[in-house]
Amino acid sequence: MILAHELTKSFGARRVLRGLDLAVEPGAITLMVGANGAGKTTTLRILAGLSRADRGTVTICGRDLEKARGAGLAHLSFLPQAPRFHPRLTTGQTACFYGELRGRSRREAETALDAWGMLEFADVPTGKLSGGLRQRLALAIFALADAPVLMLDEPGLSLDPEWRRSLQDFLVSEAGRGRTILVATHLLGEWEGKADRCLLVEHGRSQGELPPDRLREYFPRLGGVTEPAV
Amino acid sequence: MHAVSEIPSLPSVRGVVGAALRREWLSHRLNRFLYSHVALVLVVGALPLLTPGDGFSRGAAWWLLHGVLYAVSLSSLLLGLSSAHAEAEEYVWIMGQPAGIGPWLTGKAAGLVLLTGGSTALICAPVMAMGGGTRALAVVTVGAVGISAVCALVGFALGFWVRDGVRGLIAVVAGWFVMLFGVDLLLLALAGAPWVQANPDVWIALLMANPLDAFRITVLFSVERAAFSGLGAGALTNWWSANAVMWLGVLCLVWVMLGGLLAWLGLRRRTDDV
Repeated sequence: MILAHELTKSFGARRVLRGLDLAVEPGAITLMVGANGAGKTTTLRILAGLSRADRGTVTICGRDLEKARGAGLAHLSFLPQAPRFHPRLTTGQTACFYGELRGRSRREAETALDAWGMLEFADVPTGKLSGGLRQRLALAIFALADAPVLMLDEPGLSLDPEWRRSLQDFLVSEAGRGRTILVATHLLGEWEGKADRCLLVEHGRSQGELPPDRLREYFPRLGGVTEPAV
Repeated sequence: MHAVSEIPSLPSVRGVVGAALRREWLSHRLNRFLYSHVALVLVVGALPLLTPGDGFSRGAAWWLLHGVLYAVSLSSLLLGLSSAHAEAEEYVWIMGQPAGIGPWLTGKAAGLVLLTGGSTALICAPVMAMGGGTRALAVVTVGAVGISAVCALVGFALGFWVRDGVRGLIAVVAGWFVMLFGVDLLLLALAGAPWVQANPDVWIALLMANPLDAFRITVLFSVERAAFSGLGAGALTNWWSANAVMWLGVLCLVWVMLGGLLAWLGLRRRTDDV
């Protein structure tokens, strides 16, 4: 479970978060939506321990991220937007390294690569991968962590429809296994009917929830991408 | 897959350090800076063979000193910078791992030091291959390895503070000039000041703290045994003259640790930028 209380964050004079509250329950896919600049990415970065809030608290599975950062992050796997990797290392070496950081074996890393169609690229340096292949490598590493809390920032942007569908199926399956899943996205159309909850963030604050089965109605307000559902 | 209720099992700090060290080695297999560094080291190592007659063995220390000061040190700085910059795009992954940045940075820095120092050790290979191995050559080689490790970690630290590639390059070259000439010019400018004349040990201490100067002094006065006009100038000078090799070792160790600390601070400072 993810809990955030009264998060505030400023970059210089610009206030990005203004007392944001958040509660994401396990066993469900929760979307976080909002227009550009609403504070979604900043919120995810704070929840993932990549940025410090000026005020407020974050707990991941009951671990306060400020007081027990390592224990909190051990329960979390985060997929950043537009992931990139060391260009001289191969896909296999990269996956094995992150597997080692999570106590996973080489075999588990290869299984994760295979699940995302990347095993055949295991010997290719990541600098030579296309954007879509890099995203699939990132998904393999993301899944390899096998963490109870999964957070994704705009996960489908570089993927083709088939792999976007695979990603959704994966997340639905993981939610069914009791994982806590939080997805920040603009691709509202393709999540309609798949998500269980939809949190609205505007001007750095939580503004309640939207009905997850009628997300398309909110396109004009949220600047959503009107792509067909996959 | 693990059950959701399980607390994820994580590797030990030593496991993370080892993983980061292996990754650093692997990442250099395609690094052109490393191959350029090795080629440069071998060229510098072959310079003593230019000595006329059979004097290459006796002249090796002098040749290697200048090769290390004017070429290998800069090459090591660039190698360290390239190591830090290569992973700049990936900090968002690395910093989000439960192990934190400390063990990762330790393993990466250790890998870089071993790789740079190990490749610099080849500097003695050409003279050794020609049968010119001496104690002086061994001391200069160990000193060159130390200087190389120091420079690699200084470049590494600069890479974490200056993220932009071009600015990083400028920072490294500026740092190299400061270490090579800047400290000496400053000390020359200060040498005539009455306060310095009254406290010559302070002046000497500044010279001792710069690894390139310490290497130069060690090779010239301790290994090559050049005539030293400063004997009797002060207690510190006499101590340094008698313990130059040991001092160089201690100094290199301190600078390597300082470089690692600066790299860690530079990375931590960037938490909100990854």
